[in-house]
Amino acid sequence: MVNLHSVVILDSELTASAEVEAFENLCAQQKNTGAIVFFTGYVRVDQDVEKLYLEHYPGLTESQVDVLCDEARQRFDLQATFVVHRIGWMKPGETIVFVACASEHRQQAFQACSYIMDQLKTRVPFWKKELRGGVEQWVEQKESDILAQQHW
Amino acid sequence: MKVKLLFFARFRELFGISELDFNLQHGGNVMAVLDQLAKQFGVEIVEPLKAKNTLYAINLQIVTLDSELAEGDELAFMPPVTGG
Repeated sequence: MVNLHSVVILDSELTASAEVEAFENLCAQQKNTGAIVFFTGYVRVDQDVEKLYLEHYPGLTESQVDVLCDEARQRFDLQATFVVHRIGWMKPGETIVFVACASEHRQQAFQACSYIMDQLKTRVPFWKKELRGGVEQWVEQKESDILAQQHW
Repeated sequence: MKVKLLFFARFRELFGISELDFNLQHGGNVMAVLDQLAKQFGVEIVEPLKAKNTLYAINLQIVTLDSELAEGDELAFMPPVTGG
């Protein structure tokens, strides 16, 4: 049986184009997919960040993303979801997260993708640390991310 | 009661350890662990663990400060998360 809802934590390069193709192939096997929304998040190239490190809590990370995707399926009419998140050291410009949501209608797919990202930002155990000028510093949680999570 | 404490990200750096075998003297909940940690390590070092948006998990389940612990449980202290 094909797994239509999966989560991958990756400690090597994340190539969004390959994930798009794999997800489209998966959805092509479904008869009634009318819309797929993809979200790709990158390590921003700005200021003086040399590298970004992502720590996580193995086991809880995956189960928390599963919880968010389950919630998304209860709220929206979804056929398939796929979440990939990087961990470890990354350079500016590299892909950090990829989310795909498939539905019969576009609004459901758009909203589900947005819901998963808003929840992921404040409920899944990932922590970013930046390397600036040779100094490592943990990234602070943003108030705007908390508000985005709460508005649902 | 013996439990294992896990510290992640900046909490790990704050305590200088990622794991601690901990004897919770009178049993109790997550708050009881924090109170005992404050007595052992000092109030200041424990304060960030009580801050808003700190996450707690027992045996890989997200819990709250009033969640009870059992013998052998694994309690994780997680700073506010910053993924995505």
